[in-house]
Amino acid sequence: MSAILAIESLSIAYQTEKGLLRAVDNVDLRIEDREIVCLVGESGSGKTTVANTILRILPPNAIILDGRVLFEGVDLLNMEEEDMSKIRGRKINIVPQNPSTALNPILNIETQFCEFLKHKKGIRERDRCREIAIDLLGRVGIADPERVLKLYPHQLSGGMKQRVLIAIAISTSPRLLVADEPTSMLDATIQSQILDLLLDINRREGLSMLLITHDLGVAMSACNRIYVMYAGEIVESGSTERVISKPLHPYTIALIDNAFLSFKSQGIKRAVSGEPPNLIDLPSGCRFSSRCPMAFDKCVKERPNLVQRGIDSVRCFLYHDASA
Amino acid sequence: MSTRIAYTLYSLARMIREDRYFAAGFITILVVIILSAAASIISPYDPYKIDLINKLRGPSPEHPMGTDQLGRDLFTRILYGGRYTLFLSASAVLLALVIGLLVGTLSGYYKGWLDLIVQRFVDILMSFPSIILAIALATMLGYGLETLVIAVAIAESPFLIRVVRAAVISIRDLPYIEAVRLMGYGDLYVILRHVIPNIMYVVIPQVTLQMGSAILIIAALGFLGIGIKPPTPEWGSMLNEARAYLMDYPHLLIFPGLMIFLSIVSFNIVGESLKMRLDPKARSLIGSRSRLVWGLYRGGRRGLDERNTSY
Amino acid sequence: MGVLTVYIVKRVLLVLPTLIGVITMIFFLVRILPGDPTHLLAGEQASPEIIERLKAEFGLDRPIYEQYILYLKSVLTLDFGTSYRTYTPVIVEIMSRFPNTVILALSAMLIAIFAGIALGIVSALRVGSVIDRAVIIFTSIYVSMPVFWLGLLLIYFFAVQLKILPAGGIGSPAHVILPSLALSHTPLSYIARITRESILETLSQEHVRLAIARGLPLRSILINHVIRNSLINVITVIGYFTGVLLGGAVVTETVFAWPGIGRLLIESIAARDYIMIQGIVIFIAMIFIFVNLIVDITYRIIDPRVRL
Repeated sequence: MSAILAIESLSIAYQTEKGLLRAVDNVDLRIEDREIVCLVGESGSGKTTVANTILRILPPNAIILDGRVLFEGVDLLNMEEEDMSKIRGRKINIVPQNPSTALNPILNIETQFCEFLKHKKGIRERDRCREIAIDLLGRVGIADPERVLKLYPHQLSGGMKQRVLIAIAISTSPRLLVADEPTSMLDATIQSQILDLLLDINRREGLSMLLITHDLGVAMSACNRIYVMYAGEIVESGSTERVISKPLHPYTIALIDNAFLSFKSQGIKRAVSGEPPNLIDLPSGCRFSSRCPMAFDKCVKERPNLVQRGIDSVRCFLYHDASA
Repeated sequence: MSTRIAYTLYSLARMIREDRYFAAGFITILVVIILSAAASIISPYDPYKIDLINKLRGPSPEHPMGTDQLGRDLFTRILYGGRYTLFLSASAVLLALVIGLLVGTLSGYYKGWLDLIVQRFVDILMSFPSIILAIALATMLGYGLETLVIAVAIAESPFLIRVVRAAVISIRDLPYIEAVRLMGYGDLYVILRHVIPNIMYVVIPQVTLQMGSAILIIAALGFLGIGIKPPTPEWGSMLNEARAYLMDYPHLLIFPGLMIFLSIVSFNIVGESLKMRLDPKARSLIGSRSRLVWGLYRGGRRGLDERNTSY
Repeated sequence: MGVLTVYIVKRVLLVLPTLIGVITMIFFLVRILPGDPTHLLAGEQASPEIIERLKAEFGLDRPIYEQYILYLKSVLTLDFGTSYRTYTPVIVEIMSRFPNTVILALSAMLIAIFAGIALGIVSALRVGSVIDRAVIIFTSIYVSMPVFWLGLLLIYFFAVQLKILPAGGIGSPAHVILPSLALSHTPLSYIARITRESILETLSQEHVRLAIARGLPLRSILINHVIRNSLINVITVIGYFTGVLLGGAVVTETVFAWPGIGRLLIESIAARDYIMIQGIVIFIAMIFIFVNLIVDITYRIIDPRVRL
C-alpha cells in the first residue's frame, strides 16, 4: 500500500501575546489508500491544527516550525498558493464540524452546489449541474433531491445539511476527505447515520479519510487506525482493534475508561481529571505526567520518545525498556 | 460614596492615559466648557457691544477671530455662545435622561400593558426624523429657552427610552435581582438600588452620544431661526447671520462652525470610547475582530523570523 | 396565503395605529396649548372673518371628539386644509415641492451608497492598515460635521472661490451637486461603517472559512459569500436614511435655497402659517413611516433567513 498522506515531524506554533504556543509538536501521521484514520484527542490537543495544516488554511499567527505534509508524494507546505487552491476541493476536501454554519445562509443549496462545481469541475451549464447535484444528493441518502436543491440552509435540519455538505465534498471524487468532528454538533441518532454514511462513502468511492474526533466511540466504530493526540503530541497509535482492546498509554486507557463509563451512564461524561499543560510554557518532562496515575520520577524530569513497533507506537516510559 | 467617586476618577485617569482618542475628546470638551464658563474673565469685550467702526475685521491681535457685521468681537461671542449651545444641549439631554430612565425603567421592569403603551408612544415619536420633531415641538410650544430645551429633550428621549428599556429587560430576571426581591424589598428599592446602577454601563455612553446629537439639533434650530435668536450669541444662529457675509468674510463662517463641529466630534469620540470600555458586548466584538485580517486563513509562515532566511 | 403575505399584512396593519397616533399627537398638541387654537392656526393678526371661516372649516364650535374624528378623516385622505398665506390647499403646495425633495434625497443617497459601500469594502478588506484607519477617522469626522456648516463650506469653496458650481437654487443638474454632497455626509459615513463591520463579521463566519478550504477562487468568495452577505445588513441603513432624507432635509434645503418641502416648512414657520406647518409635519411622518414599511418588507424578501 502506498500512503496518500504522510505527515512527517510536523511542528506548528501560534504567535500569541504571551509567547509561542506550541500547538503541534513533532507529529508523524500516515494515511494509506482507502484507509480511514482517526485522530483522537481533547479540545486544544492540536488535532484541528493538523487538519488546517493539511488544507493550508492556518490563521495568520501560525508558524510552521518544521515538517512536511506529503500528499501523493508532494510536499503541500512548499506548494504555491495557486497550486494549493487547485488541490483544495479537488483532491482533498473537507467535511466541517458544524453543518449549521458551514453553508452560506443567503444562497440556496443549488447555487452553492453549482458554484462549487463550476469552479472545481468546470461545469457551467445550470441543467448539467443540477443533474449531477441531484445524483450526488441521492447518493448521500437525501430522498427528494429536487426539492432540497431549491431550499435555503435554514430550512434544512442539521443532519440534512451535513449530508448536503458531504455530497458537495465528494462531488469532485477527492482522494482524501478531512472530516473535523463531523458529528459532534448533531443529535445522537443522526450522529450514527452520518457516520454510517461516511463509512459507506469510503467503501464506495474508494477515498481515504482523516476523521478528527474527541469521541473514542466514534473512532471505534469508524476507523482502521487511531492516532491519539495529547498536548500537541502523538502519544499512541495503532490499529483500532489493538488500541481499544489493549491500550498502552495511560492517557488512552483513561479515555477508553471514560468512553465506556459514558456509554453506561448515558452521556454523563467525566473528563480525565486535571488540566492539560500550558502549551506556551511546557513542562520539561512528559506532558501527561501531571495527570498520570502511573507517573514516576523520570516522567517529571525527562521527555519520553515515541516508541515504534510495527504500526503501533506509544510515547511513555513504561514501554521504553521493552523496546530497547 | 467617596470611594465610588475616587474609583470613577481613577478609571477616568486610566482611560485618558490608555486611550488617546478618548483623551483628545475628553480634553477638548473640558477646554470648551472651561473657556465658555470663564468667558467674562478671558475676554475684555462685551458680546453685545456694537462697534460699527470696527465691523467685519479679520483676525488680528486685538480680535483673534476678527469681528462680526456689527463690530462685536467674534472670539468673545463664541465663548459666550458656548454657554448657550452647550448649556441648552446639556439641559435637554439631562431632561431626556430623566424621561428615558423613568419611562424606560418602568416599561422594562413592569412589562405588560404599560410597556405596550410606552412602545407605541416611542413608535410615534420615532415616526419623525429627530430634527423635524424638534422643529414641530419648538414651533408649536412657542418660543423660549425652556420650550427649546423641552422640544429637544422630547426629540432625543425615544432613543434613551429604548436603550434603558432593553437594558432593564436584560437584567430584571437575573438571579441576583430576583434574590433581592425575594428578601422582601420593594420594587422602588430594587429599581433604585440594583436595577438602575446596573444599567449605567449602557446609559452613560448613550447619553454622551446623545449630547452630540443634541448640540447638532440646538445649533440647527439656531441656524434655521427657530431656536435662539440674535443678538444672543449661539453658535448656530451666529452661522445663520454669517451667511450674508459668506462671500468676503469667511472667518465668520469658519470659527462658529468649527466650535460646533469640535464639540460634536468630541462627544461622539468620548461616547464611542466609553461604549467600548463599559459595554461588554461591544468589547467582545472588537476583541474578536482585531485579530481578524483578510488573508485570514493564509497564515502559516515557514519557521520563526530568525530562521526565515531559508525560505 | 404565504408566510410572507401574512407578514406584509401584519406589518401594514401595524402602521395604522402609529399613523393615527402621529395625527392624534399633532391634533392635541395644537389644542392643548394655551390660547385659542384658531389664532394659532390662522396667526395672531387674523381678521374676524378668517377666524369664523376657520371655526366652521375645522368645526371648532363642535365638541372635541367630533372635531377629532373630522380631523382624522380629512388628514387620512390627505386633506390638510388650506393655507392662509397662499390660499392654496396644503397638499397642493406640498406636492408642488415634493419632487424637488425627492430629487435631492435620491441623488444624495446615490452618492452615499456608492461612496459608502466602496469605502466600507476597501477598509474591511485591509483591516488594520493605513487605509482602514484613514476611513475610520474620516467617517467619524465627516459624520460629526453639522450639515449647515458643511454646506456653507462647500458653497464657499466651490461657488465663491472656485466659481465652478452654483451656490444655490435649482435649474440645472449642476445645481444638485453641492446640496446632495452636503446631504450625503451622514448616510455615507454610516453606510461605510456598517459595510465595514458586516464584512468583518462575515469574514469570520464558518462558511467563508469552508469556502476557502474548498479552494474556491478568492474573487468568487469575496463577491458571492462576503460582500453579498454583508450588503443585506446595509439595506436597512440605506432604507432608514432614505426616509430621513426625504423628510428631514430641512437644513440642507435652507442652506442651498432648494425649494423642497423642508424649505417650505421653514418658510411656513417664518410666516406663522400653522395649517401648512401641521400638514407638512404629518406628511413627513407619513413618508417616514411608509419608507420604513417598504424597507422592512424588502428586507424580508431579500434575506432568506427571515423569509420564513
